[in-house]
Amino acid sequence: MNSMILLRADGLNGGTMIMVAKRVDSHRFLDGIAKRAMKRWAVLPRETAAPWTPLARPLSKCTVSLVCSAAIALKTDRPFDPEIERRDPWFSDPSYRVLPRTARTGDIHVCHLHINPVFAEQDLNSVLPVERLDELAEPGEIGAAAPSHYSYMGYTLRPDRLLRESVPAMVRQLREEHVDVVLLVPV
Amino acid sequence: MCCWSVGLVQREIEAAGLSTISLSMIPEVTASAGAPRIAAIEHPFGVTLGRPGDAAGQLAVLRAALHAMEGMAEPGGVVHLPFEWTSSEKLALGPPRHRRWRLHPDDLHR
Repeated sequence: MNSMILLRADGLNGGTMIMVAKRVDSHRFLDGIAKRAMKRWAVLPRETAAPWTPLARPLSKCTVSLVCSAAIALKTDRPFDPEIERRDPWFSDPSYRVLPRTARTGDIHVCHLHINPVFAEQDLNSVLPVERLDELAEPGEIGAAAPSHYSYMGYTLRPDRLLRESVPAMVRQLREEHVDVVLLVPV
Repeated sequence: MCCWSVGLVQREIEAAGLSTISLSMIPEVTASAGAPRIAAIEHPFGVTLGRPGDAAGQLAVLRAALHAMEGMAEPGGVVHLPFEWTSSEKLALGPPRHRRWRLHPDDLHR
């Protein structure tokens, strides 16, 4: 069921007021095997509580950066290595790439083996909305778009090296660029 | 897997002192990684923000995800974004099912 429908009988004129609130169907775009796997995955015991950093200032004052799991690299940069995953399907290239705020669709390629990369290569903003973020910064809806955004290969069952090596390096650069807010985008 | 690994990366960044939010097509899985804030979205994999060329749609999703942060006061918050995806487009945007995705990325550009 896609929508949660709340029925109330206290409308202004005594009639029925219907409010529809969207509830995302997590399994709509999964096939049968993936659907079963994700349902089981979601109910596994959680290891740790979520950390918390409150918003330090209003969004209109925040510098925002983007992180996307689509394995996007500049054509001028070293590509992600899909052979790592082909040799060991439980693992994947644990590195990350920096994508400057000025990167555009023609500057990148996508090396993710589990999505159709055509869409991101037709329009980078479908997964890494660099131009849309600039459009929010221009009128001051956010404080600024960060100078750098980031991408890594998100399809991995062994993220140890990603978390131990790549993420701390990303965090260092995020701090150097005085980023307040990070939006992460899975694919 | 992306929806899981994004949650893991997110919690590290949040723990380092930055405020974070994830978009997620499978919010239960992202939450299971300990993600502090999630904006759930019912979009196909590979077009999380929206269709190629749909700047207005992409902007609306980006704006909604960022502003969702403002209403979250404690870890583990999930906001379900209201965007719809019509069924007729579901198959057209499915994952690749041919040998193309077996090629090395350099080959894809030949």
